[in-house]
Amino acid sequence: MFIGLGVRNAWRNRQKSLLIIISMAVASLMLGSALSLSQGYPANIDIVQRGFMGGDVAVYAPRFAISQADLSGDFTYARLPADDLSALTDLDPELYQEGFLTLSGGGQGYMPLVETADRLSTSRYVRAVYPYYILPGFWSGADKSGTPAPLRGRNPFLDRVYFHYQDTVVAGRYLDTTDEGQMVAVVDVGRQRQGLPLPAVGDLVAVRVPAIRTDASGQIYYDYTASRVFTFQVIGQVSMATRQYSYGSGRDTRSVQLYWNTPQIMIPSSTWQEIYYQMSGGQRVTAVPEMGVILGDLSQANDVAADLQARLPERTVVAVPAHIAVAASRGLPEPLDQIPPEYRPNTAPKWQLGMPVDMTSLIMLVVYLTAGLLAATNMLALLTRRRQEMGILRALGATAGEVVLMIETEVATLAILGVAIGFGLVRIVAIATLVSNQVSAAGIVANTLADLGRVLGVTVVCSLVFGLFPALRAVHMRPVEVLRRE
Amino acid sequence: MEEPILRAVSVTRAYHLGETIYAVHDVSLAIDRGEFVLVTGPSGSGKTTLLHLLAGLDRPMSGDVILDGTRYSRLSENGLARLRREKIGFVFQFFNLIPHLTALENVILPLRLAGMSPAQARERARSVLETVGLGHRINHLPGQLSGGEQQRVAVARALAPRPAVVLADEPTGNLDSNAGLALAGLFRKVNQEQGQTFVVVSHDPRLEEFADRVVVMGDGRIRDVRVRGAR
Repeated sequence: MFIGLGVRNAWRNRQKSLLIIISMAVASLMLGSALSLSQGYPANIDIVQRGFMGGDVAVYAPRFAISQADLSGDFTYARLPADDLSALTDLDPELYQEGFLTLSGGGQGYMPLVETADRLSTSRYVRAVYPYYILPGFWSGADKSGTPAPLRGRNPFLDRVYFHYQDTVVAGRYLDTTDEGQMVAVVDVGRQRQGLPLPAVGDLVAVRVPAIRTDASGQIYYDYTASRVFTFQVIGQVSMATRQYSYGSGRDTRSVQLYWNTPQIMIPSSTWQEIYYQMSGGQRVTAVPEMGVILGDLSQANDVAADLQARLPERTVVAVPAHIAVAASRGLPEPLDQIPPEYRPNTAPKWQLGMPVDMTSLIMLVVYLTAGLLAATNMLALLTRRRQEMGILRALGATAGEVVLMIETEVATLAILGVAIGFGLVRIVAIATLVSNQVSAAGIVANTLADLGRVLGVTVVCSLVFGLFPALRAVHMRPVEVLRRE
Repeated sequence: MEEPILRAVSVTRAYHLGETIYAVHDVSLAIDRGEFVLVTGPSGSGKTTLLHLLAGLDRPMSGDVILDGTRYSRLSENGLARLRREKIGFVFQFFNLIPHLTALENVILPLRLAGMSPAQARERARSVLETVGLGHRINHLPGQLSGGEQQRVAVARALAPRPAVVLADEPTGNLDSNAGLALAGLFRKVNQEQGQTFVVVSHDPRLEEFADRVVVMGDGRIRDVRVRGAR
């Protein structure tokens, strides 16, 4: 009966309880956002960059200290190898130029290929692992000889199926599975924007590649004193448009198309492996600096990245869109030279990748404390005006516990109303993301219910805890004290 | 001899308002099972305070109240609340209806507290409201009822659970002369037919004819007790 009365009171007093509803709505909106939106991304986000890195989640060989907990452990200062060619040099140049903090022994530039791939594959969210095959290479033509032309081994199947790289072609064609083992290459027209020679389709490209050695600790290094030239026929040119960059305001607003530019000479992966074999003195590739992980569903990208990070504590695992967002906020990685300096983002590093402490829990705690205090204040004011009602209930024989139950039900009902508004708003966007990732209806329902359960649980518990004080105050009286005064 | 159902033993209730004012001073009163007692006296004589003490709505500074063998002094506030729900019906001078519940829901409330099922409680409440002449107003909120009608809802609420003891504070105060007498008659009828005990506080001398005993109070003490006819 008291639960029913509480629900009715909540509905009857909903306008006087707007503060509770709004505060709980805001809190659940924020928690809902943290749970739903920060998890993942629409299916087509950063497709070019994901394609370049070979996955939705990137695994880097070095382990950057990524939390305060890490820093309380045994950590050291490390630097990437001078000839590191992973995407890190594009996305976070400071790591490459100035070094980073790492857990002891976690600063290596390469990681074991098969072992890492096996461990990644144990996650049910991982659809494919795409090793980042890269070798230093130098232009060996007559013009601008010695300029960068790193050799990148690409998987034509994955590039076509997952990243639609054939859509980036501006001349010729993209690599195909039939090209495996052939001395053919695709180049990015961005080479021209970087001031590097751009071969046309049909041209022959000569690239000098250093010998590959392994030191006593098993780490790879390159011997530039022993090198060899490999020649490829260019079969296609790609142009990797990434985003529109708008600057200025009002009528002066301008928009510039930005491009991902890479000097890489992209060749079939089996061709690349053959070159590696030849330049390493008959070794098969056993270590890579980076690895892309293709997921079935980007809407879980951050969660999966966190899960994979737990499986590979000695590596750094990040969701590529998250990494791209960090880089983009600093005006990286696309060059912004054509944009007036005053409109360029501040390129100074704001944080090292992964270094920011995860403040979500703390922020949520503060948000819920605030919401709870607002709810308690609102309820206190409301119950002060309703002391007579409490007195009557007590006079009729309701125990303190029953009246508390009624008030707590009232607060919880208002909180649920808040959750319905806050979570509902944020969930619309989250569901759109899930739909874009082609998550099944059952998956969307399960995901929504799981998040709703968490938001509802936290919000209702918060409302109950903070509703307890006004409730106990309201029943801490003798009925006659109230009824005599009224 | 049968034990009194309700007994006040040397109860005193004082208020400290600069000086100590005794609302009820060393009052002892025994009320027999099935008795109809009228407590009367001038304003400020301590009638309502005594009634609150008898109902366990307030606690005496000294002395004790015993209902059906249960000493109030040994009960917690929750214990007193449970005792009220099980054995006492109270009619307040100013009705004290819950403003956002309809007349019917106000009457259902103590029935549900007493553990009656929703359907039974609804049926019983409807029947009692019809008895007090409000069968046509059951779905009205207290604010939509006249003072007299609200008083009758309060009476129905007190009578509905068929408590062992009904305590009524000026139950006819807001009723016209005829309605007041009719209500007193209803009390008496219930008292006689169902054997419930009634303690009624009233200024109205006409109610004396319904009472078995009249207790006259003054300055917080019992000044006179008049027994009226055999029951």
